[in-house]
Amino acid sequence: MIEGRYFILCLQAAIEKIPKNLVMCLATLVICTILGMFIALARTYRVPVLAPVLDALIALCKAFPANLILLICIMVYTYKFNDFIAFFHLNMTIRDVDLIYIAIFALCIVALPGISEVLRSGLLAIPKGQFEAGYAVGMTAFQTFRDIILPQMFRVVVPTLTNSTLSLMKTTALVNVMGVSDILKGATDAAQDAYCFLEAYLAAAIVFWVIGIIIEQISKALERYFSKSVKQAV
Amino acid sequence: MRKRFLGILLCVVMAVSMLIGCGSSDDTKDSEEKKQEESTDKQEETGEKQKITIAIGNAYKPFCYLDENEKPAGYEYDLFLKVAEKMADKYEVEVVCDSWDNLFAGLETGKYDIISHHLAYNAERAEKYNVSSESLMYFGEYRFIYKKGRTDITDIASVAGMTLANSEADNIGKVLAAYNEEHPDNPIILQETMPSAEAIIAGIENGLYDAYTHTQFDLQTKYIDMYPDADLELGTVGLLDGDVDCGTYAVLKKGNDDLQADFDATIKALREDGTIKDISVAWFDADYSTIPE
Amino acid sequence: MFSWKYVVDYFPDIFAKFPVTLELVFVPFIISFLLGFAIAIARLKKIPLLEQVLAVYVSYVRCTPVITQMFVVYFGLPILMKQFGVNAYDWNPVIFVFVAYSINISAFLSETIRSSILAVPAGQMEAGYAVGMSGFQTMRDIIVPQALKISLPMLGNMFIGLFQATALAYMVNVIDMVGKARNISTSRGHLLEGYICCAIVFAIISLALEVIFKYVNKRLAFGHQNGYQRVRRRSES
Repeated sequence: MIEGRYFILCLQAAIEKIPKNLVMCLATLVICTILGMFIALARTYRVPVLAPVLDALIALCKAFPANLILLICIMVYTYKFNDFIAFFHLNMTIRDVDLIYIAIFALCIVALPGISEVLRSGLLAIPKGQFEAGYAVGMTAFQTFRDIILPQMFRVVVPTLTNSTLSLMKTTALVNVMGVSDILKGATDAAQDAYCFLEAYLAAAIVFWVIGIIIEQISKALERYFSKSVKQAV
Repeated sequence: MRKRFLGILLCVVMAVSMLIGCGSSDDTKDSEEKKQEESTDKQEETGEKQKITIAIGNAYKPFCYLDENEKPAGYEYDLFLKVAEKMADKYEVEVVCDSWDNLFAGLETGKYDIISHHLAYNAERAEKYNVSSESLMYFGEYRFIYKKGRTDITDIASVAGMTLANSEADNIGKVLAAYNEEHPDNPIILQETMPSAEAIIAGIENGLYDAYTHTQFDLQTKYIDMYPDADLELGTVGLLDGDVDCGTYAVLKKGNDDLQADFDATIKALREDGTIKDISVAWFDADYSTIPE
Repeated sequence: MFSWKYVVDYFPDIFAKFPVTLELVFVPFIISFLLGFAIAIARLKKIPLLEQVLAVYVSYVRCTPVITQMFVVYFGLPILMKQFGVNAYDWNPVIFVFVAYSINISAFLSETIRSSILAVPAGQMEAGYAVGMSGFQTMRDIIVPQALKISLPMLGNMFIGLFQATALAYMVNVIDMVGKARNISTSRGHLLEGYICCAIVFAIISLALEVIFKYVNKRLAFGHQNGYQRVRRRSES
């Protein structure tokens, strides 16, 4: 049966690692949102050459299982990073790169298709007339995007983006295949002595559950907030 | 009407899941019975002898596991077959495979008399059970592997300030972490790593890590022998001082001293006549029947 | 050290385990389809207590990573079965993956089915009653076919997601394609090549599935639109 003593032990170990998962999750989210924005723009407004290439790239990224992406990234890093340094004549050694950066890099590949897709649907939700209106009053394309499109997009996208954050948070549970110590690895490491793996995985599940519920609540609150502002505007 | 629909649906779901559940458990039962039949077939028909059952793991390669045809195999399986032969004048020995979780439970319920799972000596365990005094094999002391030609790595003090591919969670990781607590000014950098021999070797070769430590047996069989082309060297100095127990032992029920005495005598005889050495060489290409050099 | 030669060399051995992956996809998907439907109906009917329990269950599955769910089942189910006097410790690990993924997918499926049933206009149910059909008949002949059509894009995504998630099964000692790649590497080395081989198989199948689902959706959506247009035209005239 489940032993409370071991469970508490694993739970503490898991809680200690929460910041690491949050950092990975947030860093990935920020990078993916910025990159995803460019990709979404290029794909929505069909930039020649770039758009079809990105279409293919996104479809490809989506086709690989997340844990294989992580495993392949870490192995390629261990085997090939020295060649990479030599090729670009970088003034660094392989040791200067913390494992967590590789994890974030791999998580970006995993999360990018989803997030850029969300941003694209946000862009598509804004009528083309908004752009034309911007041009009509003499704004540049960048100004129109920054002052007219982006704020409207924000409203559409943020609730969906919190959903992507939830699935990204869950994906961070996979980084232990790379040896990065996250919530899951923290819990199972604590279980190593007593062989209490059920307790460890339960503890990790509960930590993720609590984080997930918080993210869901934030998502709901944001949705409510943004839908309220629309009504007021009308 | 609606409720009836729901009821039917639930019944269907339950029936399906029960069917699946039962089907699979039948399968496993069948194969278990088959396994036991096979192992009893191997035993010769012997009159009124004491029947004992030795249980080993079923998923711990290369010590005790089920091979591709779901037949027991491994170093410990071969060893215990020899033990069974040797003890045949007094006992009727059956060797079976079971999962790790079932071994200790089976020992306590009396289903098994002797269990083994490449178990190192553990004081807590020795208090609860009888542990054989003869060792089934020796995995040797903790050593370093590092890039071929390095001379600066010898013992634990020599790697201070260097990067080691070791997690703090495993046994040796704890020793290293304890060392770091004693020497906070120049600690060993413990770099977490992907749990894969290939990744560790690649990391050592390209300078990501300075060294990696494990038991002689593990390093020799999983690193040096497995990757003969790797640019690796196995250290010659043990990591820990002196008399660390590096054998693996069989476990018996507390108080089963008679059987333990016979078992110990059998292991001792098998070691002395070179049988264990032969099995060890067959499985690991080296002699681990005595403490390795 | 890395060589594409090994990717090609390992391919036959790794692909030989593809049926295991198929098994890991189809068995849980079929179980969770039935289970998800039952959960959706139970939640829609708002059966007291059961509804709350199911809400917690769906929340747990939605908010925790599938890898922890899988391990909780792997370590927890035998202990649970012991209470019923069943020894689950020797079960083939595939069964634990079936159970874990069924639990996972059924929760997501129930959400999808629930929202699809809600998306069918209430008038459809009333229309069924109006022509003298029973509740079950209306559900079977009118509501469910429409709901299925609505949920199809989501079902397709979920199916592909499940297919990719089976790449985790090796962690509980199932010898699927990834497990085979790891096994090969313990005797012949070149783990990275093995992983890349698996990744290629997964990618090709995922892309193919995506194309198939897109095609099916287009066909069905076309019929759907037409139907609505016809209805609208008729009501306008």
